Amino acid sequence: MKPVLHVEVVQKKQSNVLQTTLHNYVLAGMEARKILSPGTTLTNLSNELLSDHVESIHICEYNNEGELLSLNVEDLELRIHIFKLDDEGVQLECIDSGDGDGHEVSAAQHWVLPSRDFNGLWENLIYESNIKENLLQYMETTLLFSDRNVSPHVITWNRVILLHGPPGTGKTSLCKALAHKLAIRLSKRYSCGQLLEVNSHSLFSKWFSESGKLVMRMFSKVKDLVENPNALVIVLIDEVESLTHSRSSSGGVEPSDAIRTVNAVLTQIDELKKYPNVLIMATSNVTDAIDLAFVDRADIKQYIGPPPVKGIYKILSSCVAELSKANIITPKEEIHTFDGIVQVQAKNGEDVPAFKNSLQLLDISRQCEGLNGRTLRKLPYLAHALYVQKPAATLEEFLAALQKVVIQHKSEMSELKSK
Amino acid sequence: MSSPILINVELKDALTASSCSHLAVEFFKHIAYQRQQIPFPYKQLKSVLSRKIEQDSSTVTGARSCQAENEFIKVKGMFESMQNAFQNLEEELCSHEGMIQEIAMILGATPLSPRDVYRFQFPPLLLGHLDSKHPHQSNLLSLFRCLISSEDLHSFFKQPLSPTNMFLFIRKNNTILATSAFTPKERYNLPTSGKHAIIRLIPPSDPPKCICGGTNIYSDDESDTGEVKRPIDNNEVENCSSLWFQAHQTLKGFKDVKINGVAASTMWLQSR
Repeated sequence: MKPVLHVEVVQKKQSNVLQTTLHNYVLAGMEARKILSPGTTLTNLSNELLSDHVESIHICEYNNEGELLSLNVEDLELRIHIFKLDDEGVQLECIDSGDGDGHEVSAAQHWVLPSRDFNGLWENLIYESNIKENLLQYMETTLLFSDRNVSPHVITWNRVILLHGPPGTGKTSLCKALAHKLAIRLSKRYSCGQLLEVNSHSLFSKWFSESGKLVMRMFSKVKDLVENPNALVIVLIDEVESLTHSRSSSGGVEPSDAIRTVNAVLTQIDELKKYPNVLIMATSNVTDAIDLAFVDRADIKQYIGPPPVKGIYKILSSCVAELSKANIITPKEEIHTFDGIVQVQAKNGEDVPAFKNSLQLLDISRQCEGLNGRTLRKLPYLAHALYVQKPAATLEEFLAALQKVVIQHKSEMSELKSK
Repeated sequence: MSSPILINVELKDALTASSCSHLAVEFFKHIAYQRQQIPFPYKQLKSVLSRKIEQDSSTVTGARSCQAENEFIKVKGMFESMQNAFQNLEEELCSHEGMIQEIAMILGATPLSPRDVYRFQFPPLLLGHLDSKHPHQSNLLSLFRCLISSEDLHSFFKQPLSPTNMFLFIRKNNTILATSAFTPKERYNLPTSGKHAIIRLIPPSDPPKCICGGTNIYSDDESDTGEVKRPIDNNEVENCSSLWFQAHQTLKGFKDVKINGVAASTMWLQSR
């Protein structure tokens, strides 16, 4: 069996060519190219029909490997996914507030997938080993089992995943990117995908005992969406501890209303279980505070930690590439891949002029170990603001600035801790 | 899902493309106002905005008038996009590039999670009639008489709805479009959730004789007998040869906000 390579084709919004037609054209175009480089995005298309109707073609990373390599089309099974991006962005879903005066509260944020907001997000999330791919595989399996009516009495799965870990590691982004990716990959099975991010704070009513009812109303909204068997619905509960605060630890401080909310959430999750086309994703920073019954319902409890050195190197080099694209780092210089540069260092030590910049970036990456993704992506901006301070700089200057910022950031963090 | 309400509108005059588009747009304007998506009836809103534009607004002083001005810019933008969308709809209906079978307006956050769905169905449109010989007035009267006297529709309007999005859809059996204002939504079908209302125009059984030379040819398709044969229930298998097209422009509902207890629209028209 040939290995599978996914190709994602973004169709232009105005294009009125049917997807089956476009599929054949893209397939022919890909086969004509013979050699494909995974992880690349093609935007300038030579074929007239394609350039009229296609915005971009993304060749997905192959075999969970991020490194660029070339593949022969003949050895692969191409899976082409054609979709249009939704430009509307986030919309608010309102429910009756229960005050009796007809007021409505926004219960959730609603995206129609695949959305332009999340395009390219997946590729820029970098984690240890194969977390991303495993999660994607897991979700595909879940939906396959549900779709094929595997008896839930024999094999149990709840369609709930919980991502936990320190702040800034991209748990929420990962959920959104996963939802986006799933909607693309499963577009043949489901005609539309939707992501619903629950606004947990607005589900607490000022009236005693109303919060539980608000939760019920919110979930009935979800059920309305799920009724359509061709719609894939992903419910994201960010900071899940606010909705499912551990009931045992509440003691006398929490009013019983909060306990009712937790109960409502738990029973509603069980209710949703009977629909095959819904997935629940939850994220949390404080795992201790989550109710055990919720944790138990989660099929996968994935820890998302700060990226390893390899991930840091990738993140920083992607930042450098982005700045070169914007002509803030000129002239454009190539940054080598992580594996390549580690080999060079092992063989020749630090003193290789051709690899000087990449080696320095590797050194910076090692110093950054332990920092989270959000901080890492902020560093190049701080470096430019604090130490470069001119519209264009060479890569050497920029890396020197980056080095200073890392040292400064570390000392700031240690001051914060000592206080 | 509660079963959709059906309102049959028996027309008095022949239904030409331009009169049909006029009816549809007037209907959607009516819905927008009745469902609290625009604070005034469409015509009044238009006149308020144009009166404000005529005013000299070069000097803006004070926080409150600045806020009112911001509000005005926002409302003007939303109103213009609404105007634009209706204009595109009219153009699309009046063009002869393939027959439009149905128009729908969805109120809700996304087209997949509607609160209200209004479907506007009509028989195949007559060709070759002169608009000057068929004024829209009599058909418009029939339509609004039915809308206003419908108890079911009133029960729709009673339920509160905060400002949300309005999506316009048309259903056609080909992908040829006259304007670039619509985009095909493959594999999309109107969702079953929310409340549905179907407005169905029924052509006069004995159309008044006209002198504009238009024959009562409903379409080139011989199988079309001029009768409306549309499924009422969404669960019925829709004709697979037809496709929904969504308007690029999404209409946004808005309110007449109060600034320190005074409605923004009042502030716009206050002489400074």
